[in-house]
Amino acid sequence: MSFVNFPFWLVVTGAFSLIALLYALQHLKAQPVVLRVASVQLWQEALQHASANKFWQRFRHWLGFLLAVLIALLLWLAISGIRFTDSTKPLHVFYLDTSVAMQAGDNMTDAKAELVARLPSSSSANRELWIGDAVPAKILSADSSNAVLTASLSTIQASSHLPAFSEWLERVPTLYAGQPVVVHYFGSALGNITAPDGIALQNDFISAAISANAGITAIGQQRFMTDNEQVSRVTFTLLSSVEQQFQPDDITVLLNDSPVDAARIIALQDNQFAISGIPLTDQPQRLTVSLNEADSFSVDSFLADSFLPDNSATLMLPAKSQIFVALQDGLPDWVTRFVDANPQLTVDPERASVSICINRDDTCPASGATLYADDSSNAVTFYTPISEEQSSLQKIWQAYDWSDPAYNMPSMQVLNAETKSVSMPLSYLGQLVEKQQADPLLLLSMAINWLTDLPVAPAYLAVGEAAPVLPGDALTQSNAINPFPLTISQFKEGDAVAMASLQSPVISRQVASARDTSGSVEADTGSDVPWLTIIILTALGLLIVEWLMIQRGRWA
Amino acid sequence: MSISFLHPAYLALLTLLPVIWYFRRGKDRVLPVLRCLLVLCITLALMEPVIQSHSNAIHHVVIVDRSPSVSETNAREAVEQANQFLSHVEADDADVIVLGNSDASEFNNVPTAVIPTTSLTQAVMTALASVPYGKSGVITLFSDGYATDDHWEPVLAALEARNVTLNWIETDSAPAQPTIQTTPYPAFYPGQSPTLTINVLAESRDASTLSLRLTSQTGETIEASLGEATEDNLYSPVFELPASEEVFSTWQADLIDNNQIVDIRTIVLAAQSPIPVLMGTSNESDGEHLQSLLGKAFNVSAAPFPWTEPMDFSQYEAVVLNDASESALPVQLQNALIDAINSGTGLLYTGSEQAFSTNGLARSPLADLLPVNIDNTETKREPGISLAIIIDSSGSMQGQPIELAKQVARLAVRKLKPQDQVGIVEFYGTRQWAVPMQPVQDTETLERAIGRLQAQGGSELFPAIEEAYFGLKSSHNKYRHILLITDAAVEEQNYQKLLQYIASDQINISTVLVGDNATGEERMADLANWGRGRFYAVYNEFSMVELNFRRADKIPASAYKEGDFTVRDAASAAPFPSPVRDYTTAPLKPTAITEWTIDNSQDPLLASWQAGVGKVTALMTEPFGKGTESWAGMPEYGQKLGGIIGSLAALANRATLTTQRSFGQINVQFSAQADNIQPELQWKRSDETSWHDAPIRLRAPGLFTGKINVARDATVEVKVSTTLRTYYSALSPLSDLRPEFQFETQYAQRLQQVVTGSGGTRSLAETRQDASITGNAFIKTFALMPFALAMALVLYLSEIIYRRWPSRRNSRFPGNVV
Repeated sequence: MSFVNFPFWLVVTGAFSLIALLYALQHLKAQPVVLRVASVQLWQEALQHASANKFWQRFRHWLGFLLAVLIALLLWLAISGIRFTDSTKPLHVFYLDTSVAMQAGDNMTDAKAELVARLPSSSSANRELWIGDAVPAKILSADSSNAVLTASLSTIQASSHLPAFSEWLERVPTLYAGQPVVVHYFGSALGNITAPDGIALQNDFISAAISANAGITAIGQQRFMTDNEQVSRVTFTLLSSVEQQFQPDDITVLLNDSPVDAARIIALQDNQFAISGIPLTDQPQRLTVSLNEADSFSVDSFLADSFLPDNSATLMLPAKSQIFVALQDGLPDWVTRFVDANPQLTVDPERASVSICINRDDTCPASGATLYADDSSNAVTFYTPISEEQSSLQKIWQAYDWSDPAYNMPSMQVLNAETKSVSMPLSYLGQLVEKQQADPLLLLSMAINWLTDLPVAPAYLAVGEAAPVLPGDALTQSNAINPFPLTISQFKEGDAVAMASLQSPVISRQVASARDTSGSVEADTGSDVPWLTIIILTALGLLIVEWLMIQRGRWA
Repeated sequence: MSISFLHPAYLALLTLLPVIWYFRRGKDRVLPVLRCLLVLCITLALMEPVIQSHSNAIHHVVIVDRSPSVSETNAREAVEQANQFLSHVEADDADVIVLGNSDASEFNNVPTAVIPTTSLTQAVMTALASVPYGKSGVITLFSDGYATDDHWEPVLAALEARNVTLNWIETDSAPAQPTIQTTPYPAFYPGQSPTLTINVLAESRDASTLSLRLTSQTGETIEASLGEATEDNLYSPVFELPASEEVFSTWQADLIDNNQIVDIRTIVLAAQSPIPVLMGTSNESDGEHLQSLLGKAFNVSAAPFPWTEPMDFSQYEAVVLNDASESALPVQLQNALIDAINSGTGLLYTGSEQAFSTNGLARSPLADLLPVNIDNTETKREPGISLAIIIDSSGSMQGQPIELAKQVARLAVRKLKPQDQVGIVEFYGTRQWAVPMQPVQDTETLERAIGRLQAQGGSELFPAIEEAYFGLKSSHNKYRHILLITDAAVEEQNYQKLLQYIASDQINISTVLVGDNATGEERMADLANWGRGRFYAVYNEFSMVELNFRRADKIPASAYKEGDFTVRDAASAAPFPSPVRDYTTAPLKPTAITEWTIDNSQDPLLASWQAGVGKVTALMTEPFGKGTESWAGMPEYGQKLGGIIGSLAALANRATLTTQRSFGQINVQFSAQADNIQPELQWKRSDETSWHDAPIRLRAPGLFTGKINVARDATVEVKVSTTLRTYYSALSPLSDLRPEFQFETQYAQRLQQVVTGSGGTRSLAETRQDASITGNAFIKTFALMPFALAMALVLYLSEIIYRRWPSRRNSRFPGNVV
């Protein structure tokens, strides 16, 4: 037994206080007043009170007192919020999934209706309700009023995030520290999810499968330098739950809202497609790929896709990467040739953010960070105030196998300095260039990019995944926290904007997977005896009885 | 604000009110009114009225880090500060999370969860789960910031999604303990010795007593001290591990301090698959020969010429062609090979003279891809001659004949070149070598020897011819000739049989009749005829003849050179320890580069250039033939050859496989230079024998990703296979975790980024600042049921008092007061 509203000592004190008060009131008797009355009336009264000689009527005043005490105590216990709980009974935790799969068909509406039907019947003492949002949160705790339920549920809709149920389920033992818990799941079909020890999982509602689905499950880009141009190549992958093979005509591609000719879409294998040679411009470009809607009059109209979040995907193509450099006189030919040929680099001393120097003297342009020659040791040295960058730079070296003697590349070291700069054995690297080895050129490009700290557009951005970091990107992104979109949304990082798309073959396939939708065994949700209601109703009943007894003259 | 009733059905109880009113007695109205109000209040309570309002209250969660890296003193201070902080917050709006082992009662009856983990990321996510739906929150973290994992991306995203701020109040950490930081190693192949560096972070005062011990699965151990520090407190001893044929090998690294193990790390090494190389050659054993030279880093497949079936060259990173010809390599296959080279496959073109001549691929499409000219224009070549001059120095030659013979001999010698050989046999009843067969180096000496000849003795030609034949037999020059100078006064013998026999051995015999002996002409002519040579008649010094023993060959521009030639590396100018015996000269094309040169000449021995994405290298000698005979015993030869082929293969498909563990999942990222490959992903635990398939999909051009669900404490081996090669990676147990005392500053910096990204602040305890945040509007409910019941109780007591109050008790007896 416990009390919700008052502490135990207060309840006990109050109860005794009421008893004392009622006892005192019991003895609130009138002083005797002698009246002269007619004898006839006296005998009438005597006849009326003749029953007072019965045994129980000797105690009628005490019975009245006890009834009054009972009524008062019942009301006091109800005010105190008395609750009879069995600590061995499990806590029932209801989980409503609002992930993107619930957008299919009427999944969300049906789940909410089922939840509203089941939840109020359970005792509020041992039930809770969680919303499986992008980050699951508790919407109803134990003892909180069901009044919140209706108001809150009306605003809850399925969102474009991935299910977070399995991660939340793993956290349940920690959240409920040793308490037995039954989790009631209302949501989209799960995979094989095993509940942790001590937690029972019950699928109270699993959303129905839709007839068929088609969607975009991957979209990504890579930037290339070709001749004098920076271009992007985009690949994307489609999925059909009915194993349909798509053609370029089934797809609409928009580049900044202008359609891209279907002839440029190249079909690869397994419903993969590519678009090559998209020139990058000074501004980012939005590329949207979407599935054409099925003709409603076609034979396949019954396979109409009623799950839309995966029907389109958007990718932000980065703006042309432009780095202005200043060159000192006397640089090796291969360096000047590289700068001239690289469409990312432009020689402009006025706007230079990187200076490339053969000697670090007064003639070395003092604009921005410096890359300079140092042939005294066969090493490339990165000077940086951020010591944590060493590990990312080491990863670059390893990723390109530049530690392997076969590549003849210089070693790498990272030293602390107040400002960023890089020193390289340019003469030695030039010898490798003359042997037509491409690694020195790649190294020079990466070092210049590292000095300028240009943001790197991710190859792709998918809901529920961290943005990928390619070996070359790691050099510039260093130790940054990567974007991790939780919903289909726009991501802004500084001046860069990226678009997150769903890209989940699991979801796209699962929404149309046939499943056994028969209701699961309904477990006891702990609808305990509503003691509080019983107490109040009992008090009400006793009040009515007392009233009747009082009006009949039995009690005063 | 609004009011709602959870059980409106109880409104039906209001029907009791008329009953109460009906069953009243007397004219008193107060009692029934009180009783009706009482029943009304109880009915209201049963209907459970709830007031809903919007609130901007903020929920606070305090995380106290009591992990081992935080000293007990600092932890207690953190608890005090947390309690102080919580004292300003409503108990309903606060929760406490404690990392590590702690007593929950330390926190003043605020709901407290104790998490046995030491993961800060998990603690923040658990704290986030404590913030009710729709409410804003502030999480205050009392910690030293040294996280044991780095999974901050989803944490920051979750904080931003829920509008929850993370503040970090930095506490001091316990003194650092020596720890193993990272264990990098360069790529190696099965059968090679891997080189493992173990980076240890330790104070210099501790380093002297520290040592490392590596133990393999087979019990093999290697021990070493830490050596000198490479950076501040960072020690990087390097271990040369024994070679293994297995792809994966597991080692346990123990960091030992005075015989006590202070840190343990499991290291799993993954070798790389050998570079696939295709060798086209006529000699079947060349493939094995090349494999044994190159070693385990390469996997050589030999395909003997001629190639007739279509081939998929994209399966190989490098192709070696040895003595290829147009018949061995049809045009269709050449075109396929060219396509592969343009896509990145490397080509090493080698061979003898044939490979670089008209008999090779001179007029073929592949010739354009070579860095040297295989020119089909023919030029004259003067091959070497071996000439044996038989001079009759018998008595019959006295006088003018011997002088004429000497003159003819001198003329013949002067026609010879340094690459030729000459010998002079004189016969005068016996035979002897006046000048043994020797290179024509010193013509003066030869002429002096000729001058010393004297006519004397008998004339036995037959043995002299035999002698000359035996002298020429061992010569390797293209042209071998016997020049017989005599006056024809020789013995009768079966010259025909002998000369025909000699001629069948490609040795021609020409005769010169000196003197005035008309009868000898027919005989000498016969001898020349049998010997397939020429007959000359020199009667006197005015009838000297032009002797011509060689015929200029028309050969292609690339010329085969024989001899011993010193080779130099073009870059380092260092000579090779052993010379090359033979090679073929071939002109370098513009923009091609010479890597090895022949000393004292401009001839390249090894030349390379870029062809499309791939690289083509030409080696102007046979890798296993006569030319490189002396290199067979050179230990560096295999290494050099491996370096050449390795550099060709490097451009073929530079792919990288990275694997990263995140709790119970392994994220696989495979980036290649092409997106039309179809990689296959497989994995297994180290104690399993069979591989499990896992899906891998194309995410962006050349970028593939996959996910593997496996327990965090499992040692996992991963491989990604393409048609070209297989890539391996391995993950140690708990590889995404760091030891408690590994103070990875990188992780602390990431925590700072999360704090900043969520809008929070980082401060020391004494300078703590609370970030001001605006709370989300969320629905707050207020139940009216207790108030209704309280009102009912008050009304009940009031009614009792009213009933029993003495002044209002009416007598039933109307009468007069006495």
